[in-house]
Amino acid sequence: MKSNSGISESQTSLPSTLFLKTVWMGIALLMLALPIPALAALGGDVTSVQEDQAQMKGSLKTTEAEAYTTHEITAAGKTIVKEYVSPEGKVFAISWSGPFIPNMQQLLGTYSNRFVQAAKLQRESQPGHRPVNIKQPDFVFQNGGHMRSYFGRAYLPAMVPQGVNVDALQ
Amino acid sequence: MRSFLVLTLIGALGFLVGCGSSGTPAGVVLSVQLTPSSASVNAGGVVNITASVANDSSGKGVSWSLSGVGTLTSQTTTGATYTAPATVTTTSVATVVATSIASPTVNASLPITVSPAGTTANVVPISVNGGPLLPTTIYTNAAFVSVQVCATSGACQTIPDILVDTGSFGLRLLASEVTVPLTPITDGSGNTLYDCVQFVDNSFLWGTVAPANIIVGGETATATSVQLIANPSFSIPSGCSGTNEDTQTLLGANGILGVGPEPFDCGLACDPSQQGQGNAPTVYYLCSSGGSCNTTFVSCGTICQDANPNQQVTNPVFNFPVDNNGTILTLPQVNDVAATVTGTLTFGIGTESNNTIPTTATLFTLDSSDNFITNFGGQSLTASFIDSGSNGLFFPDSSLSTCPDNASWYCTPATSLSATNVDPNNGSTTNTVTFSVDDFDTVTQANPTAAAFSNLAGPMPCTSSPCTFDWGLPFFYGRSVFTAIDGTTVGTTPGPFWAY
Repeated sequence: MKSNSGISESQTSLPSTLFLKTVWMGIALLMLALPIPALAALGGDVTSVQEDQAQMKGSLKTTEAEAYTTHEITAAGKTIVKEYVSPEGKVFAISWSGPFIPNMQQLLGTYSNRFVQAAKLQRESQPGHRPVNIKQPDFVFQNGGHMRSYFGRAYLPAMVPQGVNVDALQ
Repeated sequence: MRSFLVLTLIGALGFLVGCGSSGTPAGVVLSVQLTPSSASVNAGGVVNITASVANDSSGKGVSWSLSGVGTLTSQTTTGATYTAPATVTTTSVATVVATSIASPTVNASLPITVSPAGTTANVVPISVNGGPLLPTTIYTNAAFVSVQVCATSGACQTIPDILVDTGSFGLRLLASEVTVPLTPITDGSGNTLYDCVQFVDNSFLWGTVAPANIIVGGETATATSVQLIANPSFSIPSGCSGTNEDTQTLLGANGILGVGPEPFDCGLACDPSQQGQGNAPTVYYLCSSGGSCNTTFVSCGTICQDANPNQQVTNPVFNFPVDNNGTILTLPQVNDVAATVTGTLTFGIGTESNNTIPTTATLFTLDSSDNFITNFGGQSLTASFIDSGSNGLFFPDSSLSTCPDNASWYCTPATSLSATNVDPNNGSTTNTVTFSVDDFDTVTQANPTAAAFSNLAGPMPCTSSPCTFDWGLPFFYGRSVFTAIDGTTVGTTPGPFWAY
């Protein structure tokens, strides 16, 4: 655990004069991102955040808090995607909120098939559209809302850093 | 002096007309206007129509034609009388066309909706009856309606079993159910306009966008974009991912009638005026016949301050000539379980004697995402909403267990729960709702053929992102829920709002 100062400064690679609580890195990271290789966001390395951002053609904001770092991507249509990265550099949770549902296959990476299968089973058990709640021992997915206002999250319980309350991610 | 000027102008126009090969002077645009611009009558009804032609220097006026039911009499170059048939068995539409005699390529049309005698034009029956997949599959807590769809050529068909959804905007139909010739919108360069609606459960609707005349009850929305759901011959772009619900089996309905509090499925975010803000959202696509697709902006018309006409998939109610500011969805009380229930969908709020908001109702204005606040279990759920297209009540309650086989439903019964809805803008208008929760597995297995369950509920995520109480169809049992559309007004109160 770091100090209890809450949100601390970001990205040590930046000059010390730019030690801000939040840093906008949109264009620089867009230029770094290469054409899309195999994507892996949830459960993947921190580098996958940049791939997601390039895919969504969004702007990126990075915030470092206690025990994890938040990467916030604003995608087309102003949907906000947050990816939470552990000190080990792994994406252990993602959340989204806004008028359009982001591309889940891309954000969930290797967990995409788990989501597809579970959602299919739930849909087939009863017709209709409703919020989705998938609760597996190592994978949790929740999504709700209505046209032009959606939000949800997915996380990997085993990878949540010690001491972090997954219900209170910022 | 003034009369001299007028005479000079007329003389100049006469000279120009004399030079034009078609009788229309260059630079002067003829146009035909009809009064009224649309009409609804019961069987046997009469509509007196007048025509005026702007810039018709020859004063030749119009000639008339009629397609559909009824007769057109007393035809002159400035007027005609439409008489509906003495009886019609279903609501029908007739189209009167007035064509400029001086310039026969210029015309105007007037759709007239003819309803059976004794029906009320702005009310249509709805039914919670299990849906079109019976008896193999029952769609619980879903309200269905019949909609008439007409091609602009005038051919009409009635499509039953369409889901009434106050959580979306616009009419979406399985293309496989549409037999009238609807022509998708193209860009003039060989590309066709497609629409993608992504749902929260990894399903989506993909299909072309085509204008149609939509008749619901006795109301007609003319030239309104609808989505025709079908799998294309090419791969659907990755921005629209999951399962395309392009069959009745997958969708559980023949279509979705989105009558929520917005006029358009995308709105300003998809309007070309937003091009400077970045890429188009993954909603509208232009696709070549070879299947090369790119997201595109599509005008949402006057209300988006766009001079181009609206071509987005549009809430048909918004395009009705009258009763176009919202809806009332009314269903009877259900005490736990009912085999089926029937109710009404009424168009317009405060526009007729049958659609006023009672003084006992509470009116909630909405935030910019069309949500209000629900206080429940010590939590302030700031992204809460009313949605007839959700087939349960969905809210976060850690004391209730989800079902072992389906974590989207609660399997713990509970009684005497209460939640308080709060207006997000004034913070002071409130209304408290009491409700119960059944064990989903127990109650649905004990009533395998019932369509209406008042106590089905499931969880919703409550995270650092906004928390939600989704008041689905069970909320409508025993209530009339008013949904006012953004961009319209009810008296002096602007939409969007809900009242119940």
